[in-house]
Amino acid sequence: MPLPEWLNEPPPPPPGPSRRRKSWLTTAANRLASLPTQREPSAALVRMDPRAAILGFVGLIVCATLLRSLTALALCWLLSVALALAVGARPRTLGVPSAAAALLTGLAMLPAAWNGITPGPPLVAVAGIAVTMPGIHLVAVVVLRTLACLAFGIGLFASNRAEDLFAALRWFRVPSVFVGVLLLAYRYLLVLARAALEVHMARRSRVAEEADLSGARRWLAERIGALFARSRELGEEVHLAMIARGFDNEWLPAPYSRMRARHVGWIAACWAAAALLLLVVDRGLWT
Amino acid sequence: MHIPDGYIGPQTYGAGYAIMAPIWAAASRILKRTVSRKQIPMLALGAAFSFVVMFLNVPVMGRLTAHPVGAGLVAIVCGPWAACIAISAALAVQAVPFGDGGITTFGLNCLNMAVIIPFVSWGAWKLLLSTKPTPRRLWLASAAAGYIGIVAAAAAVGIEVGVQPMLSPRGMYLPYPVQVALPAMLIPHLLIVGPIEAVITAAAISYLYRTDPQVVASQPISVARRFALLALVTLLLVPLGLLLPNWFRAGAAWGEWGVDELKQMLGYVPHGIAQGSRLWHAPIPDYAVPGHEATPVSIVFVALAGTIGTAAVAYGVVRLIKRGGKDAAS
Repeated sequence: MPLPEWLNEPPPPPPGPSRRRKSWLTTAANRLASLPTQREPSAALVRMDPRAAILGFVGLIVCATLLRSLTALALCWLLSVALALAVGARPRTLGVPSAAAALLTGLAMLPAAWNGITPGPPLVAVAGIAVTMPGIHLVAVVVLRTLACLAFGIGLFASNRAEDLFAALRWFRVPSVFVGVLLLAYRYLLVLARAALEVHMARRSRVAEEADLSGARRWLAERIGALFARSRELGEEVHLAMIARGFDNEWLPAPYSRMRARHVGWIAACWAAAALLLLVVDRGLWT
Repeated sequence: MHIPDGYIGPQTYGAGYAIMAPIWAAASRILKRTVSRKQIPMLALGAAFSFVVMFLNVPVMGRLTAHPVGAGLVAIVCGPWAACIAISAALAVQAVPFGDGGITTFGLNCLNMAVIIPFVSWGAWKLLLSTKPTPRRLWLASAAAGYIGIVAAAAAVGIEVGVQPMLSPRGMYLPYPVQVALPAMLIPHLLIVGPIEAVITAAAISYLYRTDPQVVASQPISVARRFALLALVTLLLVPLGLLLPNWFRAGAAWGEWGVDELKQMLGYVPHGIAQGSRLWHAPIPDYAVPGHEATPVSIVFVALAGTIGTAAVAYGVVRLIKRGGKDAAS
């Protein structure tokens, strides 16, 4: 018996890759999934005392916020990049946030180049609207300063485990409640982010088509409530687990030993570099 | 709303730390006294929650997105002091490992998001909610609380950014004056971010109320506290009431002209008014500290002194009346 006509037809081609735009809920979930996890510090990094790292890097950040001249800021930025790479920051970890910060700061500062905000000799003028030289200088100063501060911050994070940096805050007389909350919050951040992702995946696997914008917003708001309820449950579980492990309500980390000479040397070197940049290169004292 | 390092000068970020240090100390002391050790992990999870919520960007129009802060929600459920510590911890985690918000500006960011939002939202929620909330009233009060909190914080950021040209005349930081920075912060928050925060806070609180009403159980607020909260809000709005006429170049209120204004309007000062004006010289004329010009800070200071003085007099009168009543009864 001959086959019917429709069976002889070649099968339709498989659908190509979907060109549909990712939903904003999926984008938000992907952002959560991309939260960077703390890597294990290398042997060289473990050797840096977190207190010394905080004092050194924060001193340099404060110095960067005080600099005015482009030369000093450019040197400061180079120093920040070199230090961040030296303490173990990956080039990608440094490059991606730096590019984003440069772009955002540049956009925020763009109107400052206009003569309406920063008067001065015009560089380019069209119909009364001019881009001024002092305006361009100001944009460059703020962008460079932001980049230098960001690189120092990345260097600080790369120098030690975040838990060690937070625990070292006790040495600076930060209240123990705050340090305790900070340490636990950091530890359970990824757990909660995973819970949020699971909620999203559960929805995607049960719903055939995306809701409209207002429906999705309403769903998200309710999930935020559910996430908050989940965080409270998790808090109780954590507390029970802590009691089971003998937690005696003591948030103080082990008492710190005296800082070693090389750590004091690191702080001194950072502060000397900051003083050199600020007083000699930027303010031109002793020249 | 996160101010990064490098945008603002040392006078402003130093002031941020100076303001926040006693607030953190007070919050820690209050929490140590009032929060059981069981609640510490909950506070930590509240901080982690706030961090995760700030990652959820909601589309507003076109490709423009806004993210909720969640500080109002944490404050409504856990109380403003607990929220202050939890949101500060979330901001610290954002600033150090993730580079979102600065290290020098950490104090200011905490002031805006860990103090202003929780306290304003919590105060508004308490003021608007009755002791027996209906779901509809709960929704409205939560929405208003979320909205007012985020708008107040945006106004604070606008002012902090806007004072940079005054504090740094050489223009080394953000050069936008208050007239530019304040509307630039307020308009998007009034129109876009505020409604998003309002809807998210209200829906989340309503969900929590449906699933476990005890979580958002409203503690009754006494009439005296209600008045105190209203007085505080009014006090904070005092500079606005005095600065707005200046902004719009409005004159004094009709019939409340001073001697100088009368002279300018009429060309002379009527004899009786001139004589009367010499009878009493106000110790703090025009709400300015003697020897100084009126500034928003001096106006708030004088308003605060006036409020305390008025409250003290009223308290004394009430005590006298009560004592008189007791004596008459006995």
